[in-house]
Amino acid sequence: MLMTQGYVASLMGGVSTLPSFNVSIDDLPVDPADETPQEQAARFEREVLPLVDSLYAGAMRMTRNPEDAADLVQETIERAFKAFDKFKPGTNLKAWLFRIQTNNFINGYRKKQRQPAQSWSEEVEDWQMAEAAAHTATGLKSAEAIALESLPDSDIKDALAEIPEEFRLAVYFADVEGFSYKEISEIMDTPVGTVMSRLHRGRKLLRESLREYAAERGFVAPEDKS
Amino acid sequence: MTFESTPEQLNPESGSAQAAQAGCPCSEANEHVWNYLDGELSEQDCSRIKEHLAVCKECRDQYESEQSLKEAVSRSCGCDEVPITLRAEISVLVARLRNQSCN
Repeated sequence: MLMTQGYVASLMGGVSTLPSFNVSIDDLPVDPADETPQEQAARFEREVLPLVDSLYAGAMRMTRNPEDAADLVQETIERAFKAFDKFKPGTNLKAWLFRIQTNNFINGYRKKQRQPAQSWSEEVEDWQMAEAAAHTATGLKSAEAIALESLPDSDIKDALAEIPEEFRLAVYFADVEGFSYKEISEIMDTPVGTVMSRLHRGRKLLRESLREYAAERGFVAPEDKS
Repeated sequence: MTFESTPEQLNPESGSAQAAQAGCPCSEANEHVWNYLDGELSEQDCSRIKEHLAVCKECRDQYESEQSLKEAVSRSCGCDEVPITLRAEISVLVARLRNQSCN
């Protein structure tokens, strides 16, 4: 009821006639079915374009090179524009966009890549997980935590780029975008349990890799592998 | 390479005092440290883990190490400067799409 009132008032430009809600008029969800194409396009520009930076960062983590990332973001924008009437206002727009982008990446873009997709899937070699487990069982020592803080962003990006795609994206979505497990499961079209296992394995591998970056920079002594 | 100190083996031992009192808070904290960091626990579970972390250095160390990893990724992996050419291309693209849909 209130929303209808607000929406009608906004159509009439009658902001001053609104009762005093605790939300601004911009927060009231619109119904895409009631919008003109012009209004919808304007809303797209207003709401989606500010998220291009995030989409590009995500695309860089996916494709790992700027040219492909730019292509992927453009595809995402085009598909999102055409499907924007299906986006439910009031739900997480960024998660919706990342779902489109991830889908594009996995089903479209990646097939075109010359380099075959990594086929690790859930099956990271046992020795790799064992090695990670051996090193990380007690967690990072605090000196290593400090090393993590000192590592340049480029090292952390590189280390993330080296872990298998499914793990990489799950970690990116959770740690950079702050999506919930449920949102990640929808974006990656996989059960929540799988998201959790991808995060678990991805973080283990990432930490192992960062330990080596830190050692190379002399932040910590290389682990004694006895 | 040693497997002697996996979390499962390590913590029941170090946390045996607490374990005797209330189930096994160390193994619970261990198991859920990432769910805690990811904000996926109920308020009740959160406060239980928070209480345990306050009294158990071992688990707190683990928590802090996981947290530093999450923070490193968060700080470093979301900032890529969008090329000016891409911004321009997107403007052109959106203008074209708008014209198509509005005509």
